[in-house]
Amino acid sequence: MNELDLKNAWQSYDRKLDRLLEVNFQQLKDIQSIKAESKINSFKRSHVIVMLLGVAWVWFLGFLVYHTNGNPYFSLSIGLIILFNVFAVLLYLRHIIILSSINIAESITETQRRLVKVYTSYVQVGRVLLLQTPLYCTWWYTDELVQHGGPLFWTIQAVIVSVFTGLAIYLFRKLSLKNKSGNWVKRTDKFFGAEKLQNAIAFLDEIEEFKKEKDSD
Amino acid sequence: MKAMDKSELFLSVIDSNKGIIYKVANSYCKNSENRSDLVQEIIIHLWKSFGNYNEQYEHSTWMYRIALNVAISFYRKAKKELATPLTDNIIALVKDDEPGELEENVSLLYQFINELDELNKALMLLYLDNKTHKEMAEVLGISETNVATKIGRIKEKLKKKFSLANS
Repeated sequence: MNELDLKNAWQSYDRKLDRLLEVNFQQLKDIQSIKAESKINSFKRSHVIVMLLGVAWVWFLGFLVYHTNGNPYFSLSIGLIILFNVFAVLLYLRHIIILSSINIAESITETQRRLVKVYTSYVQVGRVLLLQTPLYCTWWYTDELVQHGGPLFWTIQAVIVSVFTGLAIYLFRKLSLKNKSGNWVKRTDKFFGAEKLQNAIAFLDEIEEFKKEKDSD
Repeated sequence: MKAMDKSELFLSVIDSNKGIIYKVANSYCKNSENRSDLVQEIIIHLWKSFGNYNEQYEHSTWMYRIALNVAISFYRKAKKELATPLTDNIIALVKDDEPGELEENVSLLYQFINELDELNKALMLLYLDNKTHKEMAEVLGISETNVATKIGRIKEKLKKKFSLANS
């Protein structure tokens, strides 16, 4: 079978589809009348909501720091948490701008490149935010506690902060793009979403490769 | 475009190009349940973009761009739930009383399409639908010479596939 035969077979199949496919016009009309939302729009809307919550959270923490003078542990911990959250809010804003600029009727490589970039950046934000976890264990320290906490208290605190720090660093590294191979690693990757991130990055590479002009593979 | 005209025109565009939606959904989604969700998602995007339809392109080219973009994104998503679920299939295939040799070749072609990666799958569908290199380049966002190179490579693979199947 040559190229022409193949195309002819496909054209015949096309004509057959025209005859055999039935459109449910009532459903089509429903889509036109209801405010159906596409997945990109719903992703964008969830970004807007999370960003607004982030702004409110940063404002609330800033308010607390401003009105809680004199405790350096509180100010330092919450100040750093604010920085993490400002970073996340700014990146979410960037995602919203990119998502708003996407026109689904544009070329496939460009649209997909933008979508995958937003997705990978979205996972990276979550990854960086994990690093703030230990700060939630230290904001309530006071000078009095530091001076009179006692060895048992500080041993327990050291264990708690170390566990959260270790966990945050572990997850930060796990959600990286370089983690591969090993069955248990693959299983945990799947659980923490790293596999999806790696697939997205691989797809980004695929797009770049597809755009390159090469004579042979 | 008046609201009523727009709505009627959209229905007729979908009806005349329903095969595109079906073929794209069939190529990117093996699971029949997800496939009807994908068809719905494609139609939602088509309707949302219909107001901005650029008349310099054919309806089929415009539909291919949107359908392929949605299918590739949908295929990559883990979550399959829809924002606005509808119960029935929007486009359904009625039973054919005259199955023939055609099915065999088309199913072999689908098998071949399924073996390709997401972007080459798109290229293959456009190629089989007799799109020009210029149109394919515009839909995919690559140069015409790149299209020609890739088509040449796909043709070679197709030839091998069919000669294997026939031997």
